[in-house]
Amino acid sequence: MLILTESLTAVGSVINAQLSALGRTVRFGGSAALYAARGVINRRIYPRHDLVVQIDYTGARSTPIMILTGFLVGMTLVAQTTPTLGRYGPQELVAGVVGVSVLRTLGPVLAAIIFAGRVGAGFTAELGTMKVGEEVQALETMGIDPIGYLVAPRFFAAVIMLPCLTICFDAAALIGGFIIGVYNFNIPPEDYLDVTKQFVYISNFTFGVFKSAVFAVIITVVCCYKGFTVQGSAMEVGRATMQAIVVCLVSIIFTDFVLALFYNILARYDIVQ
Amino acid sequence: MAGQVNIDLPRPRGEGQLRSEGPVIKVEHLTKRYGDKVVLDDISFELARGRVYVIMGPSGCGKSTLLRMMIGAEAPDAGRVLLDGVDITTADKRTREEARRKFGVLFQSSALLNGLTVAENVALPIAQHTDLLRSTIDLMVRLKLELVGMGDAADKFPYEISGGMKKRAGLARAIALDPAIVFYDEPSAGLDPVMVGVIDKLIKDLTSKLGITSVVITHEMPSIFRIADEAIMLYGGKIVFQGSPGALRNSSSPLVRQFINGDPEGPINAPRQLAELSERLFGSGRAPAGGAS
Ligand SMILES: Nc1ncnc2c1ncn2[C@@H]1O[C@H](COP(=O)(O)OP(=O)(O)OP(=O)(O)O)[C@@H](O)[C@H]1O
Ligand SMILES: [Mg+2]
Repeated sequence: MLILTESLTAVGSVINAQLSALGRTVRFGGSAALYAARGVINRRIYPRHDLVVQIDYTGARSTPIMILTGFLVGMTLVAQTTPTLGRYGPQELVAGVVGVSVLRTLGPVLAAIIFAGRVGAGFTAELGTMKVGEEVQALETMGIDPIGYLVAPRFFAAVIMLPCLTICFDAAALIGGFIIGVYNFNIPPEDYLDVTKQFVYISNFTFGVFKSAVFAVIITVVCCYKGFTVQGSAMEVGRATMQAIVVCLVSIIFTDFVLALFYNILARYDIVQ
Repeated sequence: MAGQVNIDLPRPRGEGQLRSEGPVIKVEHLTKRYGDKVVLDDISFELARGRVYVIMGPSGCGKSTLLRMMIGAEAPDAGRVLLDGVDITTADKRTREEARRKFGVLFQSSALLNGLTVAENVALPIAQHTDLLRSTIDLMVRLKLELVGMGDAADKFPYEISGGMKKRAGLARAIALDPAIVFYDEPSAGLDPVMVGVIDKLIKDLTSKLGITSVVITHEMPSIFRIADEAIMLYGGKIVFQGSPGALRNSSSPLVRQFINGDPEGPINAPRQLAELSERLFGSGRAPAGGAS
């Protein structure tokens, strides 16, 4: 009996700790979003220049890797799916399968995962180093809110740029798939395009892009929060970065699942196709 | 040029000045624990206006922790800190913000923002707290940088300059808004003796010329005797000495004597294992380290 209550208490306290960490993260994200919005009007919150730097760093410089991986993913999907599909029906159905899966899930999720690794990890490492180097505290003593000054421009840039990058990824994947389908499996280009048009709805694409904005929020908030809560030494920065990425990956995939259910509900009421 | 800078030139202020006539800082029964470890144990003292205070003590005794609580960056477990009569340990955001105008901090690691140049770092608090024109801010930044002898490095990034230059740039930023109080966390750690002298002179000049109250955390014995009006020594969470440098030099307390002589053996027991190790390695003679004469 005693063991039972004790282990229940232990489980309870773990859940409690996790929940309060979640609560702090959400509050952190809320104030980052608020500052990002207020910074549009009030130029004291963060320098405009920092926003430009972040858009360049998070967005522009991530474009090549997004296009490259998107292209490869599209080609791989078609290369692997077509032979199996061909055994049960017309090969060109692959255009529909790949189109829907890329636009609905693979594009947003893979782009978000690459973004987390390339940009999110950078956020945690940068902010963690600033925390350890007392820079965050120095900002506070100068009366500058570090969330507004450091997190808001990153938040803003990520929420704008990840959807753009997802569109690049989607486009590259569809083009890659098309190329393999047409040149490797000799599907006539008109048929490939026809099937794509038939299976893929515009709402698949828009919902995917919307999802990527949600992922951008998750990635920035988790990674910046992990950076800000680093305590102690540079070694902790490495650990925090690793944890941030793990939390990001699990949250992205879990959120994708929840949003898929949500999409189905919307579809039932004919809000999307 | 550097010699004839008039340091009182632009003073667009008023808010950052002290209000009350009483002690600038009053620390009352301050206690701080990390886990089971009591870092500060019921500490009280008062600091008067326009003097240089030195806080000293062995590494890890809680000096930086005390500093963080004096600037309202961390909450104590018990006790309070009155900064110019205002309790900043419980103050709301607005009051704390106001109190922050009154002091500047030079952090142990300088804490310059690495993405900004030296000049931009110094301009940051000015741009944040005033509505001055860009050109006026630039002038103020120039003056502060000249004051610490960093005029030539204004456009360098923090990673392009040496540790001593970072300290001086950090100091220029700390005094950018002409604060009434400046906190220095080990301003001369890791600097060569001449640079230590330069920083000491800066601290002394700021105090005597501008009436700033300085709170300096340091281990450097020569500095302490050069700059301190009053020294406070922490050990084991308590204040073990408080008084003038003269009294410090003549103190008969074994703790103080060991600390100022750098004696490896004595009541301060942190390096005991090291002392034992050196005994085993070098025989039972005195360990060759330390500055004992
Ligand atoms: N955030 C923290 N969490 C846990 N322990 C801490 C924390 N900050 C400080 N400590 C502990 O409190 C003690 C005092 O640390 P503090 O940094 O104040 O020492 P210090 O006197 O400034 O030392 P030094 O001269 O080396 O800078 C140390 O033992 C340290 O391990
Ligand atoms: Mg310290």
